[in-house]
Amino acid sequence: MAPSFLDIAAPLGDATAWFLAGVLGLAAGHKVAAPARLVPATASLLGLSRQAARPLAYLAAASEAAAAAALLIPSTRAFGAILAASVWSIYFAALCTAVLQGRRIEDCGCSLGQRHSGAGRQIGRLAFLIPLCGLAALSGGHLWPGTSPILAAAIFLLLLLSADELAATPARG
Amino acid sequence: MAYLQASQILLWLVVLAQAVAILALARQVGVLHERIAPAGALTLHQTVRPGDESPRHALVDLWGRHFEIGVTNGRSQLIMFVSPDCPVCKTLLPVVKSAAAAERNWLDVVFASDGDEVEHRDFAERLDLKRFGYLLSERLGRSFQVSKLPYGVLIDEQGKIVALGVLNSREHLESLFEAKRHKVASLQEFYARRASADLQPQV
Repeated sequence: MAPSFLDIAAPLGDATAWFLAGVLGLAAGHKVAAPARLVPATASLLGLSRQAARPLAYLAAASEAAAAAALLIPSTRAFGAILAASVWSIYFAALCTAVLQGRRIEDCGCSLGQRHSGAGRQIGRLAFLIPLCGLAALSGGHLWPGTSPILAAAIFLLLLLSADELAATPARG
Repeated sequence: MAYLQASQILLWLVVLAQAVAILALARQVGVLHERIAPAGALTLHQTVRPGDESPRHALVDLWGRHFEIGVTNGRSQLIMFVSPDCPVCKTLLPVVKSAAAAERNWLDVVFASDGDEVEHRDFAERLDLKRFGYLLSERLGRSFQVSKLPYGVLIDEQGKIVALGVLNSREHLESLFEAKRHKVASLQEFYARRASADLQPQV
C-alpha cells in the first residue's frame, strides 16, 4: 500500500521541528556563553547604544530558548514555531534595514561563532529558516518521533553549521 | 527484515559520519583561510606616512569637475595613480571599480596621473573612468611621492592618510581598506597588535 501524504508529512514535520529546536538552542546557548560579543552585536545591528541593546539581546536569547523548548513538545509546537518565526523575522527586518541604510554589520550575533560573513548571507540564512517554521507549525508531531527524524534533524543541523562556516569565509580573488 | 533494518541503521551512521566530516572540512577551510596572511600593499621608503595629514589639493579633472583632495568632508578618498602605458593598471581597473561600488557608502575613488591630456582622456573614456573623476597633476603625484604604478593612497574622512602603496592585486587594494578597518598603518602593525592581544588574559 502506498504511503499517504500524512505518513510522509508527519516525520518531515518532526524532523523540521527538532532541527529548528537545535538551531534555536545553539543560538540561545552561544548568546548566554558569550555576552561580551552579544551586546555589541545587537547594538550594531539595531543601531542602538550598548546600554539600550543589553535587555533586547537577553530577550532575544530567552525567546530563542523558549521557542526551542516549545518546538519539542507537540502541544506547544505551533507556539514555538510562531515564536521562532517572529524572532527570526525581527532579525531579518533589522538586517534588511541596516543594508538599506548602508550600515556595515560586522557581526549580527545570529550564528554560532563570531562571523564577518556580511548581512547578505545572514539574510539568506534567515530566508531559508523562516519558511521552515511554517512546516513545523503545521505538523502535529510526537513527543518521541523515533530515531529517523531525530537523526535527520541532527544531520541537517550539522550541514547548516557547515554552510555557516563556508559563508563566514570571505571571498578572495 | 533484519537485514533491511541493519542496512538502514548502517546508512544513517554513514550519512551522520559524512555530515560530521563536512563540518570538520568546512571548519578547516575557515581555519586555513585565517592562517594565510593577506598580502599588503608595498609601501616604499618615503617621508609621506600613514597617519600624516594628507597634502591638500584643489584640482579640476579632465571633464572640468572640481575635486578637493585631503579635505574633511565626511567621506574617505582613494586616489588611484594609473597610466595608459601601465599593463598592471589595466588589469587592476576592474578590481578598483568593483571595490568602489562595494564601498560606495563611505569611499570616493578618484584616478590620477600626469602626461598628455588627449592620451589620458582616450584611456579614461575607453575604460569608463569618467564617473570617478580623472585628475592630471604632476604636483599631486609628487606630493604623495608616487614613483611606481599602480599606486593607491587612502585618505580618511578627517583628511589623514590611512595607508598607501603600490597595488598589484585585489589583495593589495583590500589591504588599504583593512588598514582603515583595523586602524593600523601596515600589516606588520596589525600582526604585532594581534600577537600582543593574544597574550592578554581572557576575561
